[in-house]
Amino acid sequence: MKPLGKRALSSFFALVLSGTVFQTLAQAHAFPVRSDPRVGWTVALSPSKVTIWFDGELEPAFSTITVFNSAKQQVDKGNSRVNDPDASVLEVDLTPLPPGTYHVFWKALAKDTHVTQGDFTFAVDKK
Amino acid sequence: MKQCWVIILGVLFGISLLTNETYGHGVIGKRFFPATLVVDDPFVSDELDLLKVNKGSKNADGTETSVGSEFSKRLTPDFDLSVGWQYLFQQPTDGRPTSGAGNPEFGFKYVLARSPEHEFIFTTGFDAEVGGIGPARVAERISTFAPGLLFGKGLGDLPDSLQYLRPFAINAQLQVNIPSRRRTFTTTFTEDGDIEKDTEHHPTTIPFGFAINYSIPYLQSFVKDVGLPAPLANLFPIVEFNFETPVSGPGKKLTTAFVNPGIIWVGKYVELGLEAQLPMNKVSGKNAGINALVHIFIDDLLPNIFTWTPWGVIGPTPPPK
Repeated sequence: MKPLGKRALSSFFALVLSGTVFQTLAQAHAFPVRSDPRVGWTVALSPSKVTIWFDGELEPAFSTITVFNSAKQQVDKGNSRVNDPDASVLEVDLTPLPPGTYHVFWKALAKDTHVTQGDFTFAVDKK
Repeated sequence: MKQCWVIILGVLFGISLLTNETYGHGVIGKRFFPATLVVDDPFVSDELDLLKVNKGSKNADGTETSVGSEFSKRLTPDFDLSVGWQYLFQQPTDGRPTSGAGNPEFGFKYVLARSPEHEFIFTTGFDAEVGGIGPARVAERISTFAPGLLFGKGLGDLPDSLQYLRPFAINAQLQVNIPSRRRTFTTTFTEDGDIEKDTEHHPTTIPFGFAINYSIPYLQSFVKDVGLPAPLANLFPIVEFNFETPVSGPGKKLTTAFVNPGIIWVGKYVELGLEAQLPMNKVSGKNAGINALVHIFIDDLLPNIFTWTPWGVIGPTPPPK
């Protein structure tokens, strides 16, 4: 049992180490890390844009954000884009938003062509 | 052995602090299902259970600890093959400790239906343990064949009034374990010259179980960002229930039952899981066991190698329009 335990542990360390190294070499699905406005939060003033930070770099051509109001009217400026210096950031400019709840839909194409998508809401305060 | 556990857990926690990147596999719609430790998940995938450990509860037969690996490879987006192997350490109640390699296990899974909008997937699978390959002291002499059904369902389509329940997801498995022989007869000669005949029964059993997890990444990405930082942001609190009921032989209707509460952490290329295994009745055992998993998303780690098939590279599953 002991020799096997040592071998297994050595293999485990070697593979974890190699996995850690490969983390800098490989690319995979892109998932959101955070956003502004934050998911599910209420902001006091109309934000000028929606920004989502992802955990990997995106392909600009097929990564998009669209924002709708509660009447399902599009309220973004249609200029969804991957941030130029930081390809892991997706953003879109907004028209001035009156108080209400807004629904953000995003689609992200990672560099390895895996597609992820999601949606969330935020609100602009009624004050 | 205790030192090994401490070192492994320390390393796993250390890895979790290295990155705040999140998950890689088992995606349906916007839902990610982690690979579960006891109940098989319904996804076909290019994945590697690098290390899968079960330190079982002590029951009437004794205790058994298994340390194994399993590799699965997609041949199409809906079909994969798998091969697994375990090393077994046994402490019989009325015998000496022994250990050895178990029999190899082979299997496949095929996705019958998926609904990304409803975070639902339904899969059929087949596993086979090939008997007689591992040493007789630890491995069965007979083969076992196990057709089964698996499903996964996320609760992301709940109404807004129940939005904090949306991160919940369930996956379940139902199998039938069919032995290649119902009985094994053995005849031995004692030192006194007497003949002893023994009959070992191999019952058909029905293993089934389900796992319920609460996805912190889902909560923070799609419901409400509650501000949890990494590594907490990548956690999936989970509880798994697994049962096995013999439907033939002398032990018929003696169902073993376990509840396995634990935690799963998912990084971009690695998933780590740790659960307690708690017996729910006397047949299942007396004390707590342990389940642990180190799982690698190999197609994300090395996409140029593991998305390859003889008939072309497997691309991503397109999202719903």
